[in-house]
Amino acid sequence: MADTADVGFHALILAAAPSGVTKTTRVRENVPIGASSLQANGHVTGYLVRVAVIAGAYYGSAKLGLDLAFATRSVTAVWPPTGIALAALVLWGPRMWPGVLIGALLANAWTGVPAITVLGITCGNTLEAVTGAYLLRRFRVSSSLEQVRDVLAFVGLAALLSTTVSATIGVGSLIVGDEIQAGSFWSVWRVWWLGDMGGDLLIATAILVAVTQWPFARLPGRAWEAIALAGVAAGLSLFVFDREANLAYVLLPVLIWAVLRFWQPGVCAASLIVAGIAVAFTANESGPFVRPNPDDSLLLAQTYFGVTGVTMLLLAAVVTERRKAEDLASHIAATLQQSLVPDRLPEIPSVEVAARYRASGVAHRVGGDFYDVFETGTGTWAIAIGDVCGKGAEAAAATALVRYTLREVAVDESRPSAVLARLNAAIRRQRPANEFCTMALLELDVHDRHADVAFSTGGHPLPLLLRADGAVETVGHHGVALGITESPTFTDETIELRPGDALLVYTDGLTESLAPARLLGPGDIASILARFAGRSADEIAEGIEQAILAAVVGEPRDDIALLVTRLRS
Amino acid sequence: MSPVPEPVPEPFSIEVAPDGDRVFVAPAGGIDLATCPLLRSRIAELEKDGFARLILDLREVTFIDSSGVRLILEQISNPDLEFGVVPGPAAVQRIFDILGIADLVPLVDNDEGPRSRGPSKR
Repeated sequence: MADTADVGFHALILAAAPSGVTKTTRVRENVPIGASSLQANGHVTGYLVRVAVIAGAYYGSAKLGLDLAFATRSVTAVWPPTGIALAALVLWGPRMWPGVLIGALLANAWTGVPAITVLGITCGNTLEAVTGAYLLRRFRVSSSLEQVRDVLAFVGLAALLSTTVSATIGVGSLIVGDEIQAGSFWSVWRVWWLGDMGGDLLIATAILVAVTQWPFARLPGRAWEAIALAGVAAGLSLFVFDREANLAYVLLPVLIWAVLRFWQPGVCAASLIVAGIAVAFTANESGPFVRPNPDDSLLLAQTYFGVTGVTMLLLAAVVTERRKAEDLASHIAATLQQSLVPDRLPEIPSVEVAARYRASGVAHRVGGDFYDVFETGTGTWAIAIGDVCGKGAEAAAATALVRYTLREVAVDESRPSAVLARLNAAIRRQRPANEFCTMALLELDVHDRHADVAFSTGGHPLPLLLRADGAVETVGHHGVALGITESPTFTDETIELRPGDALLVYTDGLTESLAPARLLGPGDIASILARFAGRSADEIAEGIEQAILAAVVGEPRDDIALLVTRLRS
Repeated sequence: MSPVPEPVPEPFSIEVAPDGDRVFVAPAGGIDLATCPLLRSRIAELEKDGFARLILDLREVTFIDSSGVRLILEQISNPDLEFGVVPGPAAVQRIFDILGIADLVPLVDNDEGPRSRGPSKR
């Protein structure tokens, strides 16, 4: 680098740095101006490094761009420095503008145009990047381009609008420096504008997407597929641009492949490949876009990859927006689902309680089954299992009402039938008509060598009692499901659990799991249950779940919940 | 959020037979979360068409879940509709017993229909 350039470099930094640095310190860390010279030094160093990186990248890409100049002229189909400058100022802030200024000055200084023209072009380049970055920030455009509005705003504000600044000032400077005739203003302006637009659309998007979405872990496609896609995109592009017939549309399915499997990063990479080959071949007067006038060839090629690139970015934004909505939906569903059952079951002395819960296989659908186990007094425990009609958010809302009302009411009321009656009233008062809920409620009173179980059911499959000797019996009578009638009567029943006895309560997902081919009856469940006499509550629950799953073809159509309560032997 | 498509595991159809001011609605297949909306909108259409009596024939129904039961409860509590049910197979009737609502469902005789509608017709 020449001495003069070095001097200019430092002078610019010194002129530019302090205001930016102190501003940052003030805003971000609330430190008074000049309070910490050590910290300020660190900021200055970081700032200088970034400015130098921008200047270097701008200069390097400008040299490369000019070397690849379209049809040996000094304007290119894609002007990469514009994209680099915009991306840098968006990512690192508009105050990095001296980097662009220095890079542009160096790049233009040796093109042999008058100093006034060099200065004009340099200012235009810098203002363009600052304008673009400012507008994108002002309108809160996310650099990851994952929303349709971001893509539209990027195209409108940066690619279409901010590029007019450089084209206008740059071409004006060429006229002032007598480099071109005033009459050719619009034709040169158009080429300049389109070149800068290409830089923003291809290069800036690629950098912004790469930086904000790195390391691309969320993309559905894997590395080998990316390599295959790149190979196909390159191969087909070579094929298309090697012949006169207009087969450019052949590349559209490949670009859509990039959209669907690799989202924004895929679109940017594939667009770079296609545009690179399109420009190179068109410049060498090969391919469907070649016209007698090189400017027209250029315009056609630019229009092609500009339009396809923006279209694919919009499509990718639709894909990522949809994915975001799906992620949100499944997060809500998972959160609601977790709220239906306790995180873990409480420890009850001398008693084992085991639960199984299996949501039906349909994604994003919250089940209607729930259970709960909690202490209602000294040595007394409530064990409840239920099923709200329907599925989804509505069912989850009803379940929440039932579960939290149950926790309150079960402490006040000693008889399960009274608890069910109050739940019935709560559902009728607070839920839409005809919504109902089934429930089996056990009140467990644990003594030294036995436990008394008082229970009541409302519209629910009856509990099954497995004695220690392997005998199984269905206990209780069906009551009316909660929420259906104004004042149903529920009956209390009692059984005594002796050591080794187990009580199974379950939801109808268990008996309906084989529907419509076959509905299991309590007898079927009883015969499965009998096989597990003498086993622990957890082994019994596991055994029943496995026996059912083994019989089901595919996924169970309904949720399955079951609770096993066993007095230790 | 777009609704997640529900799998429809078996063929489902609804046969409608008007008979004067009453109409027989005979679904065939399973009435569950997936098929219930079809049946509900069909019944709503018929009510709008002016039928004052609606008889739901469950004889061809293989399976009914809680959303199907809710649909039946809605018809029972509809003051503008005289509603009856032709009982279905044991597996379907069993769910009314479990839910404790067998007494609430107004059963209609098998042969009250406009023609003999035994399962053999299919």
